[in-house]
Amino acid sequence: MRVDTTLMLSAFTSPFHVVHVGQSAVVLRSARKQASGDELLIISPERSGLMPGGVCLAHVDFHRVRADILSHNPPTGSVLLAGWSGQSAVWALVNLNLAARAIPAVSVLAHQRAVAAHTSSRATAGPLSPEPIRLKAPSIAQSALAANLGDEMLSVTIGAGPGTTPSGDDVIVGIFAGLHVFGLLNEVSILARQIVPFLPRTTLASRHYLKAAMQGRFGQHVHDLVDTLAGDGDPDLTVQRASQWGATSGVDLLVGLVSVLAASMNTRSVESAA
Amino acid sequence: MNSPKTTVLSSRVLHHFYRDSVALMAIASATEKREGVIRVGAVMATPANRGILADSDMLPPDLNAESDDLVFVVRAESEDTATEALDAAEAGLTAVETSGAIEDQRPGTVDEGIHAALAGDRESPANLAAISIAGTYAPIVAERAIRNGLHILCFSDNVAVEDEVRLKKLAVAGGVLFMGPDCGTAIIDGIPLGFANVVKQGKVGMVAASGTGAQEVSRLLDLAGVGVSQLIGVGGRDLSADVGGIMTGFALDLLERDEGSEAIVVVSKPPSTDVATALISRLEGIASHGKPVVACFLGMDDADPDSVTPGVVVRGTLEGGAIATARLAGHELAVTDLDPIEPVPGRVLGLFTGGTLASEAKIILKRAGVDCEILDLGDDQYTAGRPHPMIDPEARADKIIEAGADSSVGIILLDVVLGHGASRDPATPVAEAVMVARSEAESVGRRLEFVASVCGTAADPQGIERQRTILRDAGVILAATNASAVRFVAAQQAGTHAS
Repeated sequence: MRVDTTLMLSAFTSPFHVVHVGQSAVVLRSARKQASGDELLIISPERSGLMPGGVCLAHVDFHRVRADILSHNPPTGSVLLAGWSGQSAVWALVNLNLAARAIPAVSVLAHQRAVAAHTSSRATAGPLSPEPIRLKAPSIAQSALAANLGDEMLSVTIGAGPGTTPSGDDVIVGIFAGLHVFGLLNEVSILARQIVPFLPRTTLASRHYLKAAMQGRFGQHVHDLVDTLAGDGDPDLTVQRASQWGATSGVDLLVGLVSVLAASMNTRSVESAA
Repeated sequence: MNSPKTTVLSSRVLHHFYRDSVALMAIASATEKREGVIRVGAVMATPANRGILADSDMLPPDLNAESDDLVFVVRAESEDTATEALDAAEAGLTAVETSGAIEDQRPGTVDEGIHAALAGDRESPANLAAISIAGTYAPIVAERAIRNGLHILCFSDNVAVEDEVRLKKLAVAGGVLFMGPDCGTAIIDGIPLGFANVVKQGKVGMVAASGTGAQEVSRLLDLAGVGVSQLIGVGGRDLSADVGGIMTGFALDLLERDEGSEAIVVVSKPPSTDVATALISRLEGIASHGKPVVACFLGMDDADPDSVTPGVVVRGTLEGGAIATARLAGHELAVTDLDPIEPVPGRVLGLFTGGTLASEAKIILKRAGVDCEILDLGDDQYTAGRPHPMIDPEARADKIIEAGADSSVGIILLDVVLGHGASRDPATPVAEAVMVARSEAESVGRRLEFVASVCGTAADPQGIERQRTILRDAGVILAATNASAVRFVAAQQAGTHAS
């Protein structure tokens, strides 16, 4: 059982409302009176990896807990976690903070090409498509780096696109990841300040991940993507793996990550030349 | 573009409704294919998504929904069609709520399955069957699949050797591969089957009668920048006297003709002497036609083409096989051994999950004259009634903790195998157990060291650097290859005895 280091022990003894019971995650919202409405606990199985503010269980345990929540608590009810968490003997606290890393330029560019090839080969239009947001990603990333991401752009990005974490939000989480990887904390701070007023315009789950991203905390799948980029992994395989995360979220996030890394390198090379 | 005036737009709002996005998209896509349905939207009702719906002429004028509500919109040719589509979508989403999955229409028999697979996609029908059932029944299923022209990957073990010989002859006659039984690793046309690392595609063809042996060689080739064209597993018994290398011979025929394979490496645990002699002769024939060959036969003495075996490089370790193959492909694989540490009193215990990695360790330590106990925890005696330790690393963790209390043990050798099919995070249980075992040993004033290698690539799902970091943080001494880890241990033991 792995637990995000930021999760308080009290999470396991406090009641929660069930928000969502899925195959890849169970999402609970704190029912404590003093809790903010956005306080979520994400329970995930090993194959999904640990999420910010979450607990990651062995496959068997996850499905036992999931079945328990489904059978004893209707989705709108509340659940106490003390019963099942007490059965897990081994805990590992995992720090999900994304540290600054060196990413080879050649890897970024190769991944940028692979992402572009992937998205163009699947380009569709309409309300179910993430493509319009993905196409805007380089421009959003450039603006984020220049600290001039305007309200107009944010209003059509935050909460935009398919999925329970809309594509626009996933792109922004990817951009935050890229800024943290390159240690651009001033840009992180400015982008966070710009985004906060727009958080009510998206879903509960997305707000959770966006807030974590502002603080530099990301799910293990994001860490894996960064590892691959840093290790000069096969770009097509990276995209393939990203595409297995949700219907569109993994690729949306990778698009944001790669866009901001590429934009940052371009910016810095221009500065160096100057 | 506006829709024709004859269409109707209907919607349904599902309040505070979260579903796995994959299921949501699948249901939306299925709804869009219904007769009479023109377009579907299924999005969270955020302000931005309302804007997108409006731009697509899909925003219901009286929509009453918040950001955490799911809105399902259908534009259809009639009101009835739209309502039926929305009812079906909502029912599908509710089914996902309780079961988490949409029921598939599954074949009821093996024959139905084979015929469904062959008929499913006429342009690109299935051409390979993976069999992972009780060994008693595997030959029946395999024979039906072979007779239908399918290649076989037989993961099942406990298949009688007589059945193996019969099925392999049948497969060769039908021009298909029978990879197995007990075949855990293959990469065919870039598609990994069973346990396989994510390696580059390239020009080295591999034939392997050993699972983790194939993984170690392929991942080291990848490290050297050399890709694999095909990795054909043949099952651990193929080079035994009973089976006589039937499938290895057929696989070599295929690779010899394969223009995508410019060099060949054969990987095996120690083969039967007669079979090895015949096979080396066959490999010499391939080499004489211009396709260089490496025979990586564990335990055999190294030999180069200009001496005993003209045209064939023979290597007795996986690392040696990988280095020689990389060189044939024009790449160098440099392995830097670890610096020695203070000698550690006590015997060497190997706790391996990979059978061939365990064999390689035994051979190197035996040659060095080191007294050791090497356990292959993937062997049947340890896996009865539980998953293979590459899938479930907890069983080995228990063994590591047990060893912490064994005062005769000074060094523990480990392998950590990554890739498709392996545990998502094999390093963490090892690291946790190492810390417990070391603490136990140190509590009685005993020193205990752990030495390991990670069989993986940068592109593996587990991320090799993340896994190595977990082990390193737990104080595990990490070598670049399994052979290098074993050499380090052998050198330590020599130092211990000298001191």
